[in-house]
Amino acid sequence: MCDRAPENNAIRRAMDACLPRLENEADFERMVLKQVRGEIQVKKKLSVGFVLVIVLVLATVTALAAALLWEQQVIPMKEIEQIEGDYMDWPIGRKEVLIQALIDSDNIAENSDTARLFDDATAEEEKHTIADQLVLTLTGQTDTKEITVDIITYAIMGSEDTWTPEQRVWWQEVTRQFYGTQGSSDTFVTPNGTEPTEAEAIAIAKEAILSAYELPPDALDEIMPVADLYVTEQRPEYRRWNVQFKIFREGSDNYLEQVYTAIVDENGEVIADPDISMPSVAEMAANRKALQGTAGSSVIDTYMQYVKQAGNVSFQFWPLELKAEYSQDVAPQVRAIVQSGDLSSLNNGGVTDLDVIAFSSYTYGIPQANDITLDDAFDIAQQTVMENYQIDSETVALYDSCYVYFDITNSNAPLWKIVFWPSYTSAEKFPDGFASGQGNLRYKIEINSRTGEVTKAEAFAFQALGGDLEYKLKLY
Amino acid sequence: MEVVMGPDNIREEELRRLMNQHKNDLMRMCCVFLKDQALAEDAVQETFVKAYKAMDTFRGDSSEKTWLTRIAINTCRTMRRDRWFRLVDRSVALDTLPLSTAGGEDRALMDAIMSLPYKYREAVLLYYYQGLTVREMSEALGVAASTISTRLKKSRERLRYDLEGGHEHV
Repeated sequence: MCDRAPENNAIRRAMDACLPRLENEADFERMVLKQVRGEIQVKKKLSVGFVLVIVLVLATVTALAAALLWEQQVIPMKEIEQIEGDYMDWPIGRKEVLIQALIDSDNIAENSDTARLFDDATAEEEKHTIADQLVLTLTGQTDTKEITVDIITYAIMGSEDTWTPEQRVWWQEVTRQFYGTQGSSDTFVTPNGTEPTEAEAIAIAKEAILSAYELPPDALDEIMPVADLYVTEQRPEYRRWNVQFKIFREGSDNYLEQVYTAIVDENGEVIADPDISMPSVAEMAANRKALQGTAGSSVIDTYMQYVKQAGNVSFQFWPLELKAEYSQDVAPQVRAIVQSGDLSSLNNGGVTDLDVIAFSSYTYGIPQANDITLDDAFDIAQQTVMENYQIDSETVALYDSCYVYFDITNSNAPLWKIVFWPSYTSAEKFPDGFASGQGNLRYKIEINSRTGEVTKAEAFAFQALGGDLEYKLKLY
Repeated sequence: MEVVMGPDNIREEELRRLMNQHKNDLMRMCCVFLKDQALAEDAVQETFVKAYKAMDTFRGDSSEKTWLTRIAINTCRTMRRDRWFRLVDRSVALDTLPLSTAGGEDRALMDAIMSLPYKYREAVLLYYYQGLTVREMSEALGVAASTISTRLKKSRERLRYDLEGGHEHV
């Protein structure tokens, strides 16, 4: 896979096979030529009115920023970043400047570590270690490669979604100073009383979204909305709120599952905004409905609907109830197809989907009152792995992404099946990584759910892509 | 009558040649960076417009491909930094990225690449798809060569793990 020679470059082959070319090459070239000839104005010059808006905004921003501590430090720090590159490559002198700035803005307390950092007698290597640790602790990162002034800013000020309009205006100006305005069609502004208040805009947007998407009245009640007030180059006097309701995957604060957006203008009207290529709420709702309705009727299409319902995770991570529903609904169809010998309708992406065949070979259900609990089953399974394979508790703890099934293929002897699997982060911690040795091994334990007796214990090596059905069956 | 090509005509011809040779590679690369076909097309358009304007300053100290790649990366980065890129209804855009019905292995590799963190994805594409050297990538991205090497190593490990049944996510 990772060979650059043309005959072995799997990445190149995959991208050429999977990704689109330009849809209309002739039109594309025509558009580019029109732009370079000036026949199409892509970047409009700033109007005098818009410049005035920028000046007024800057004046307001300057007044506000003076009162804020870290915000005063950001620009000097970003200037250092422009010169020195990523934080991890900064010379110690620059890191000391950063730490001092964090101390001055009350984001790091002076202590023995900071004293050692600024002590000329301290060796340079130790100074780097101290500075890095202070910054990593502040930002919650584990690797200095991830540290940037932006990351530090978010660690101090929180997510932009929680910022005031004034802070967002300030940040946009900082961003523009260092990254330019190319590609940016809008400017944040602060409320001036001529438009609906933020709360009013949110209420208007919420009503429009609930109606357009036909959602229950309380569907968005638990969602914290984000509202930005903006103007655009095209209409610098026309103030609009962009209101968003963001739904994150459960347990995550950065995996966005769904966003509902509505633009509310200064008159309280819900609009489409061509200035920022934002369709109306009604159009976005219609688009989403059309996409959801395009699923085909094949077994694989039905399976993919389940995948979507599960939040786009592999079968192994579906809730027990969904696995059980699949077993009743889809698995029998898959088994019938396998029995017929014609596997063409199990084609997924050009090949027969062996995983679908594998997990459709079993019938899954839900534990009943006379079955041992999952917690008890897991304890038994873990103990079995440790005893049978002489693994200590620290090592078995690295298997932190286990697959769990309640198998009722034999309804008289239902089984808890637990496959011990490490997450990627944990897999890296094995002495030899995950490619060989302990990190290469997986364990499958089957337990009679009525008696708690271990009926099967198996260790196996995980295989590269293209594992056969025999291997796939071990995973489910 | 002899047709004399003025300087603008020559540059346009040069631009046409560059587009013919590089537009689809750049398009695929931008698709992976931006995860949106329409935006990727805008990014590639903007790349060639910028290239046209900067043609006279291209010193030939890198290959054309490297030069265009560098412009495209910066264009994609600017688009990604634009708040509206992050705020627009991405759930619809992601669904519409037309990943073809290519073979299972190719599709699996593509899925794994798309699920990499942005900086790892960037490193993989520039090295394996655009064929840049580590030094060229260091110049294009403005980061140390050692950082590039680390990102490539981590990317390879992550791809290998995901493709070998790591099964952290679909």
